[in-house]
Amino acid sequence: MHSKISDLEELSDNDLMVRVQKADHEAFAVLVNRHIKLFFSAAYRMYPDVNEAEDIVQEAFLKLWSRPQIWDASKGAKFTTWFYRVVTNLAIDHVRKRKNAKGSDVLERIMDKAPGQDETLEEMQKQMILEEAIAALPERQKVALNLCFYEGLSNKDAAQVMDVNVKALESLLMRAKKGLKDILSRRGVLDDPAQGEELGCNGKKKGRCCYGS
Amino acid sequence: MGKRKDGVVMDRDVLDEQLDALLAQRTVPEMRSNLAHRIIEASQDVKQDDVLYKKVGGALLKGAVSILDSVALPQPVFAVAVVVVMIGGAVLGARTGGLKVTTLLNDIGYASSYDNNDVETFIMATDSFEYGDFL
Repeated sequence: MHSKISDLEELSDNDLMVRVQKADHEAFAVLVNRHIKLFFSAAYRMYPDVNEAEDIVQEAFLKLWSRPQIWDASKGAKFTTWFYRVVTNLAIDHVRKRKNAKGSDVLERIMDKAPGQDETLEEMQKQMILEEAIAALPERQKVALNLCFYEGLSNKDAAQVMDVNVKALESLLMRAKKGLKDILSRRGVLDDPAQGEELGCNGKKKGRCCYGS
Repeated sequence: MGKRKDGVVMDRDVLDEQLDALLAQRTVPEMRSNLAHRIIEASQDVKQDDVLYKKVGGALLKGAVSILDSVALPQPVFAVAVVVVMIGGAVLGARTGGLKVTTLLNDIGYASSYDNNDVETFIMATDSFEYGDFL
């Protein structure tokens, strides 16, 4: 039994999936243990709530187990790339359901996170605003940002997950970052002297915002 | 990054750096350590639909597909064959001279079968019975 599991650990994701498709439960266990952190992280980025993220990952893996034939190696996608899509779609569904149920509760969720010892109130506040800003992004922009910035997927892989071409993905990323910069500058999280220049004091263009004058 | 005449070094690049630094601080908390175990355990109660289907119906399906494959016809031939079968069916239907209508009355011995043409007799016979009489 033990030797079988260690043998299975040597196998690639694709080989494990072939076994999962033949109802090999041990192969499924190896696959879960191998990728659980990766996909928990992906789910959490989409839905920053530990319990919800865990539910999303559990649902995704159980779906994979109950209907393993939905994964088709002949389509050429890597298992992880394909499974990102499954997890991301489930996370989007959860976000939509929650939005419908009780509106945005980003603040509540961030406050629930236990702050580290060295985490200052100001940093927490910044993180809170960042989470709000990310939550306010359109879903596809959020997914693009998460996949490229946090999950470290190449643009090509991320585009494949999102079922768009690379140019469209780059456009989504650019818009996501622009949106975040706008919100965070407006709320004073990013120090943007250009904004001071545009707004100016006394209607004049200035390089830096003149606080208190 | 651009430096303007008034000495203000500020454009989108600085904001990008700030944003990237802020995004990099965004951490993911630890998940509960037993999540993998929970998933694996929960999966033991879940049936594999496709595998079950594959096991039970796979051989039959495979057989059916191979038969269909072996009789694969070019599309025009297939269409002609369908039309011929339909015409054949219509001709056979016309030659039988009408369907025999058999009612429950046969079972209780009051009447035998009726031709389609003998509608009046049929209606009269059925009218003389209440619904409950058959039960």
